[in-house]
Amino acid sequence: MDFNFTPEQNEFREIFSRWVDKNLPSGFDPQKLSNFKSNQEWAFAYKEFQKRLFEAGYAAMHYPQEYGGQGRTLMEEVIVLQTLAAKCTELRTPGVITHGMAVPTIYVCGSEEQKKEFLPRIFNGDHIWCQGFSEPNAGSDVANVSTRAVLDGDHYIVNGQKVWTSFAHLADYGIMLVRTDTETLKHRGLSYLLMDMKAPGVEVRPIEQITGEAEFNEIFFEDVRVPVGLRVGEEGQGWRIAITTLMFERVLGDAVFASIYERNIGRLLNMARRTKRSGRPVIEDPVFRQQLAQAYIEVMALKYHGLRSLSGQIQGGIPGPEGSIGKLLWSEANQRIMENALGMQGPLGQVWKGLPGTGQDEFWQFGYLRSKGNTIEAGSSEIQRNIIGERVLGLPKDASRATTR
Amino acid sequence: MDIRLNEDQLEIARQARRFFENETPMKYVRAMFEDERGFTGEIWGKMAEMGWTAMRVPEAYGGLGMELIDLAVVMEEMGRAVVPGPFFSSALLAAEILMEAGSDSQK
Repeated sequence: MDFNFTPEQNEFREIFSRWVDKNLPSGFDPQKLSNFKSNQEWAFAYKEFQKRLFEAGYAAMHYPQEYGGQGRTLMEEVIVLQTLAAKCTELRTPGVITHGMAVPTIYVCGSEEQKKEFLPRIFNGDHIWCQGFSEPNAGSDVANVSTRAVLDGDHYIVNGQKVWTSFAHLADYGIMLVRTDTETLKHRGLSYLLMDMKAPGVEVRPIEQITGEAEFNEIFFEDVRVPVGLRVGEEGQGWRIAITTLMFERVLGDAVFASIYERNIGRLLNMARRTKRSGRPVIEDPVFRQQLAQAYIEVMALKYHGLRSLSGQIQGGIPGPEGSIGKLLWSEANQRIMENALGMQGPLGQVWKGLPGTGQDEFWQFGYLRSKGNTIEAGSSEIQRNIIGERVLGLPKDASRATTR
Repeated sequence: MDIRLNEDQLEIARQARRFFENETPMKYVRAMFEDERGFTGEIWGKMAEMGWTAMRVPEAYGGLGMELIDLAVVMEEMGRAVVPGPFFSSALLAAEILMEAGSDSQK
């Protein structure tokens, strides 16, 4: 069990870390909850920074040079992503679906033309992507997707609706799961389309969340024309492509999340040192100390789970359903950590946006509210447990999810 | 960086699993629950023959000089088969303490 990074990898981490410190946009404060006044400003900042990464040779580290990547190792990619996650999460967020989902889909399952057309413009910061899976009648049961794509000559005509689409309001393109066949088994009638979000007939409506933000959207498609050449894979392969790319996405996702949570633990401990309850620092209270230790344990479990998955993928393995463990870990651990953090702040924990002069850190308020979505999004906890049970432990299938027409 | 078990370690685990399935099935485990000593000399001898009691003893003292992770892999399989006996106190604790702090004559 070799936990060590090579001297070259450690040196690379050092060099890149210094580069990031020198190249963050002026005025950007990683401690602030929100550095941008509008979504447009936020999207622009992401694109600008991605462009800087690209020009400095740090974008798409492990993707081949023929698609605009650096042709380096997966480990260097992980080092880059982890460093960015720890130093400037907000600057990277608009690209989360782009890099986490669109890139693996196009790279693993796209045609040569699609890869050459779209990957370079993602890596150089030109494009932001969204992903359309969920619909009002298709959430955990993704196979229920009914947004219809009908072949008309050399185009598909798309009609329907998506919901909970992250960053659709910022996106240039979207990967859309659509139904091309209504006669066959539900999950066999799905296909994947690469859609221009500025095409006529595409309407995006933001959904406001409990945090006051609008990360998610509804998308309405009215007779949107998508060229057949922008279908990924064959008709009917949509389901399999979706599963494959979800698994690739999990490995890098776990490595990045571990970085964010390690940083959050540091922040939590600082808050626990500064905050006093009944006259003494939270960090001296026996009950809160138990919670802090538990939080640390869970973050370390996530970290080593991530390293194990990464070890497998670096040696050329294909990621599998064990990725669900990571998703379950980070989502549920995050909710516990956020809830405990509010408890540590006491009555002040209930104040949204913070009272001036109290030193109260509104990071935890926002985090607590936002964390409620963690166990629903990206595959609910129930679905993750089904996957772990059925596909990792080999338990009998959930009877209610037998394939139906 | 690769934190997975390597092929040698996986093979040790497979061997251990087979051994416990064959030599110490649940019938044996339940019988030992009632037994005064809690393990048989025969089984202990067989485990010694597998080399497991010698794993953490250096070669200079007649052992196999293997890594803690190799022993851990065997013990994981023992846990899975709930095998009773003084393996932990002997092969791990006693061996480690003697090597860490024992005098030459004690070793």
